[in-house]
Amino acid sequence: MKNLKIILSSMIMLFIMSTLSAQPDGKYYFSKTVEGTFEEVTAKTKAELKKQDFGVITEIDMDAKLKEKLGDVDMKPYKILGVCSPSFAWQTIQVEENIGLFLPCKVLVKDLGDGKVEVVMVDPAALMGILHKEELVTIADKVSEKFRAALKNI
Amino acid sequence: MKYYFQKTLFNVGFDEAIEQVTEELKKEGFGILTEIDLQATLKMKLDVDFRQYRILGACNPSFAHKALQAELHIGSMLPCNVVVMEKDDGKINVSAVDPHASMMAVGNKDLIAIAKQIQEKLKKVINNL
Repeated sequence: MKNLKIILSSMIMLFIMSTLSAQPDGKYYFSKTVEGTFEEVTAKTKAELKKQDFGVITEIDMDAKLKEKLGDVDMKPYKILGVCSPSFAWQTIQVEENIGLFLPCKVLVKDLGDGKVEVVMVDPAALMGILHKEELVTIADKVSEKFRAALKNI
Repeated sequence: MKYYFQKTLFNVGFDEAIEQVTEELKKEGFGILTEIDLQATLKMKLDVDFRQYRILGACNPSFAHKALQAELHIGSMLPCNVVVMEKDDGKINVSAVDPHASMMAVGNKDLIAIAKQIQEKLKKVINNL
């Protein structure tokens, strides 16, 4: 009986995992909308990424940048964080030396107004899919899992 | 799938190559928003020895704005990266991401049209080096 329960629950887990990993066409990111201020959500996002061993190595305030360069552009706060796990980056670069063209992985924090903030994490598995290199897809899947875990806790 | 354009530079040092790339990007309206010294980062974090490898995050504000209007989540693929690395023989290799290839993952027609225009500009940058 106990064994059956374990088998059943692992089957359910497998089913959930497979539906989570199946991205519809054109879906190249994971996202979650939460309530809070832009600053709070940014800080929480960074903290959760850190727990998954991703450091923030670049940060662009796209709204401010576009306003500065183009003048008449009014965008709600839109932050692009470049996040990197050194050990994953190292593994990846040994497989594909030009992969730096896709690093670091990007995470967006977007103010939607009305006290709502959206966090968007690129799905590296979707990006690596265009390269058709099995080893890269394996690493990208691991990174995707970590991103999902971070997003869940935000 | 080939997802970049590249060129090998002869008789140019690493720093000089970065200056040239920066200059050519500027001519096409791209500023450098981010710069990552991957060699130093990997040494500091993992204590591994890697070749000279710089990741430049280049952005053309008006194209970025158009792309964001077509696809609000496209910031997850910005800025466009240009990599400058030193090969084993001491020659410098410069590569720019092909935005058309990476936007294929998105599947948005308006975006693909914009990506093609950016692609032309980045191709020009690499050709003019």
